[in-house]
Amino acid sequence: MNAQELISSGLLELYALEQCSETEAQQVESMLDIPEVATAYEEIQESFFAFAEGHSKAPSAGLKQKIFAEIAQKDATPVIELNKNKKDRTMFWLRAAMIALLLSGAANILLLSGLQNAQTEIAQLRTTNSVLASEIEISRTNFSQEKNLNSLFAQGDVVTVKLNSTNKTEQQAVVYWDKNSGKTVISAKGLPKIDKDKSYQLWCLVDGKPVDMGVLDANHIGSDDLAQLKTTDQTPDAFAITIEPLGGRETPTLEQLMVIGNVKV
Amino acid sequence: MSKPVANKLSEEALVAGLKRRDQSVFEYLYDHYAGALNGVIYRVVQNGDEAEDLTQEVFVKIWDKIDFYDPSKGRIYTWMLNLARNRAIDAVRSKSHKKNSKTDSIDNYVNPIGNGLSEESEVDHIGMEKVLKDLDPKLLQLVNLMYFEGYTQAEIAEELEMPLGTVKTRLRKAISELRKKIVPAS
Repeated sequence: MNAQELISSGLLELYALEQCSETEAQQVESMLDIPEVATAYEEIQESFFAFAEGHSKAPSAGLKQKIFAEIAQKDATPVIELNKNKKDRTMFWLRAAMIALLLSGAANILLLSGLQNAQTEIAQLRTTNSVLASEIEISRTNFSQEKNLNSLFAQGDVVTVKLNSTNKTEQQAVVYWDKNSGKTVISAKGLPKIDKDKSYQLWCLVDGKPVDMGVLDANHIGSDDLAQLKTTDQTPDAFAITIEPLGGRETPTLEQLMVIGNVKV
Repeated sequence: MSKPVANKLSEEALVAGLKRRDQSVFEYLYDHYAGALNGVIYRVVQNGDEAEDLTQEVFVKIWDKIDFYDPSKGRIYTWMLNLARNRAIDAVRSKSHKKNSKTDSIDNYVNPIGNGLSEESEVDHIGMEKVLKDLDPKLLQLVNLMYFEGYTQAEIAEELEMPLGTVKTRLRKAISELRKKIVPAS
């Protein structure tokens, strides 16, 4: 509908008298900015006003006072306004409370997940920490062992004894024995792995008798690391290794003699 | 009175004054519009006491509901006159014996109004009365039906067995006649 069509449709008259449907009113209101429509609407309003004024009838003299008395009374006891304000205020606080609740809920969720993250992190850090601590402990032990060996080789009078297989040449071990302190160190790199319920046990032969020098830790078998075993204050003639039940025995099982080497002083 | 928006106060000042609940502005409003509002209500309800009761009601409503007035939708006087018209038409329609008054009264409609005009002794604006008298009675009837009875153009067309286009054309003519007579210069 263009401006001219609207003007001739009679909708403006109905609109001025508030007798349009809602849709029609919206249509009129959307076009009221158009100058010709605005002018036509202004004319209609003025004409209707003139028409009303043509029917003017002065009310009786007391009416004005009655009206003023009524509005004065209303303003003195503004019940509706108070209630409205009270309602507004209640709504305001209700809204404020709801917003605060939502915010605090959201904050709680954030804080909770933050807390959980922090707890997880702490647990991870603790684990890492204890791993590092045990690694440091291991390193420290290793270091002190290395230091012992170093001092052994640096200050002692070490005899190297190669222990060779009685039947298979590829099986071998090397014993380092310090004459001064009697300390004994072994390299078990050349020994084959054995069953878990068995142990390699080192012996030294003194005057033809075997003396227990300790059991090799399974970790050292086939390893580059040197293992320190027992100390002897006697001068051995030879060193020998047997396979014994796990943890070793007091006397060697000679059938299980693996390697042997003589001490050449 | 050649201009509906009254001499001293601009429409904006009038509305602003009402909104800040300035009683002197309200008094100004009463002094300038009470006659028109009461007259319109009287034309509809045809009873002086009832008209004044409704006029009082309407003025109190203006005072209470001024914040609902939307200047983009029309003049303050248009809003006030519609409050008065609608209140009066409602009062008439809510009376049970008036249930079918639209149909019943339509044939006799021109006469009571016509008589009312000629008999009117309290008309404030003699000039306007003359304008209405000068208006073609057929046109005046249409405006009366629309204005005081709340008829739409379509309802008028149906009741008067007249094509809708004719009703609209005549109404537009009536309005432009009225307009010409209020503001002869334009």
